[in-house]
Amino acid sequence: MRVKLEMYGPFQRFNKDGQLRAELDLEDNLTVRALLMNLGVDIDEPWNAALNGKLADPADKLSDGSLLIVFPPIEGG
Amino acid sequence: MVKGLANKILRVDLSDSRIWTEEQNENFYRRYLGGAGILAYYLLKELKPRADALSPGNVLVFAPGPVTGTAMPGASRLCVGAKSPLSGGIAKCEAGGFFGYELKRAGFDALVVQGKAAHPVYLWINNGEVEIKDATHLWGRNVLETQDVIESELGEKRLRTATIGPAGENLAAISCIMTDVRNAAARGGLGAVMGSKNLKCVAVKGKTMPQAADPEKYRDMARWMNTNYMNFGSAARFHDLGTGADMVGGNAIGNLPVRNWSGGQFDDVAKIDAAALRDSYRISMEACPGCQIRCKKVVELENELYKVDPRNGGPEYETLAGFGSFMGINDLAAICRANELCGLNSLDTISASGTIAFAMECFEKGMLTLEDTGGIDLRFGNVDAMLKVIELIARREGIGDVLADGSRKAAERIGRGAEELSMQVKGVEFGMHDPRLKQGLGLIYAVAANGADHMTGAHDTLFTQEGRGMEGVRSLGSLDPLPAGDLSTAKVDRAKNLHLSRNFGDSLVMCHFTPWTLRQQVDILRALTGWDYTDFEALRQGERVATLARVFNLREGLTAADDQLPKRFFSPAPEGALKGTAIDPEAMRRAKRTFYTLMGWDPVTGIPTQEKLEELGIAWAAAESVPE
Repeated sequence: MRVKLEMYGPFQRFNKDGQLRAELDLEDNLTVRALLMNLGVDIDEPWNAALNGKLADPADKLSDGSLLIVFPPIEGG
Repeated sequence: MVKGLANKILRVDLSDSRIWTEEQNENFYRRYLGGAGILAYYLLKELKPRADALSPGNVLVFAPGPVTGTAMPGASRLCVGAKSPLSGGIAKCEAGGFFGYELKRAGFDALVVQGKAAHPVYLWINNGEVEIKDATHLWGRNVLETQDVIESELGEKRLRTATIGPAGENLAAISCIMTDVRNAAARGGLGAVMGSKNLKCVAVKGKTMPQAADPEKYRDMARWMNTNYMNFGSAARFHDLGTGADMVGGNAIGNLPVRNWSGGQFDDVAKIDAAALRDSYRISMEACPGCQIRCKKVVELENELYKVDPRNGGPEYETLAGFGSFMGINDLAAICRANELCGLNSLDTISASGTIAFAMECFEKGMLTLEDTGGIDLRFGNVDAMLKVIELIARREGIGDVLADGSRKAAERIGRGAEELSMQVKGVEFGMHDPRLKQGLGLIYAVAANGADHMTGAHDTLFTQEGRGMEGVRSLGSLDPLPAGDLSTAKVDRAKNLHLSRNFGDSLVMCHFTPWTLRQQVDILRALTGWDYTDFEALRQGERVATLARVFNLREGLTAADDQLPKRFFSPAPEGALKGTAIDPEAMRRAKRTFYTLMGWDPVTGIPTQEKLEELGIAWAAAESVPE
């Protein structure tokens, strides 16, 4: 399956070629958590993800054409 | 004498130009600490019950904390508060910059102002010496001009100031107090309280360094944070971009408010976030004293329409969202200008943007007409209208007069069903975080004494999965990740305990962006004062402060019915990331009842029990709770 991935802030360097936005070919049924681990992300660091325009759970499964956005949680300001 | 403190509180009565200091004993400081604690204490003790917020009887408190004035990272802020003209309850906010730091070094743990001067004045606090000086010539001037004139006439450079502009002078209930020109004690209408006292500015200079009981340990802790802060994701992000770094992500999950909370995505979010600002108008980042994180943006720009002076700072997340997506505006230069206009006039950018967005929705729905607006086409997305209305609010002219006291009062004046569009709690507009997404924060928005405040609540999305995000709550006994939309008892307990730890932090007074744990904050306080202070005592202190604020609100006539979110959040969002998502009214009702119960308040009325007041050592507050 082909997935679009946007990674912000401290997570960008783990995206393909360190890009902000990339497209990745992945095995089917990969979860959000598994993808991040495969990319070498320190998943202990607080992160949020939006999968196809909704707040994602780490166990959510990606599918062909998915858009995943990963970023640090927001508070204050 | 408590180590690290000034051990003196400065009192000023502007009605008879009386200036005096008072001393409190060690137990007073251990109970209330400073900041929010001292604020709640003086409001209950000194303000006559049900006094009008804009009457001479209101009490305006500027309170640094025990740690303020030292070189500890995050220890430069101060709490400012009074009875709020916006809510009728307590107004409490924290401001950055150097003012609090300098006030403490001038020899005071707090400044408490009461009365009303016969003509405009300013206070000049020069390292322990205090004068009331004429400010007739400053009335009508903006915040930056006032700073310049006062520096010039006192012959002092780098004066630290707390100042109001025309919005405060004109008693706009959404006005604020600006510290050092570009930082705001923003929420609850404190600018109007200062204006009602004919107090234009407090200027301060101090040079007495507070001495810690264990200076070596204190220095070591400061050094540790200065060495390690970049290892914390949040602090590193604030260092690089300041607030507003992750608005794209926030938009994707539905946290970013769009068009007065009517829901939906904001497609142009990448044009108005902190990265866009870095790549366009940002010229530097500034720090508060002692802080390496340097999260404060400074912008400069000049185009054919306007220029923005870097001395006025730059927009924070709340302002980028408030004058951006919240109004359907994608013009970053205009947002920077809106931020500057609000600062110069001393308007709270959250309530100002909240109220203008409310008016825009009223206009689009026909509740306001061109006749009402004086010919201004007040539609979402209209940059010129936004900028024009800010100035009208500050001057209280035309539609600006209708909006100057916030959306709740404006809705009463407009009628025609506008109440449904007024998005506030207790009259105080929301921080820019959607409570349909972060429902634990929604609970705190509802029950917090100072209205829909985003700074004393749990931001649920930090604690939705295992990892370091949970660090902030594990030590509070909350071990399991919980969904953002959850409102179970476990979530209420988490939200309550974070609320208490935030109230402790606001009494210390410590910046929320410096990644100290609660345990480290306690260690800092121990090293500073020599007390055998504990985490238990810290949470108990936060509970004391939250409860005193509750007692104050009840005394001033607020009830549990005021702990209410607007109806819009209980209806499914029509589009965007939260499409179909609503807060379940029954779940929120249960959560409030649980919150009251866990706080030791009556589960229905939210009135603190006598036993709880006694447990917290504030039984005296019960006697203060009945209006005369």
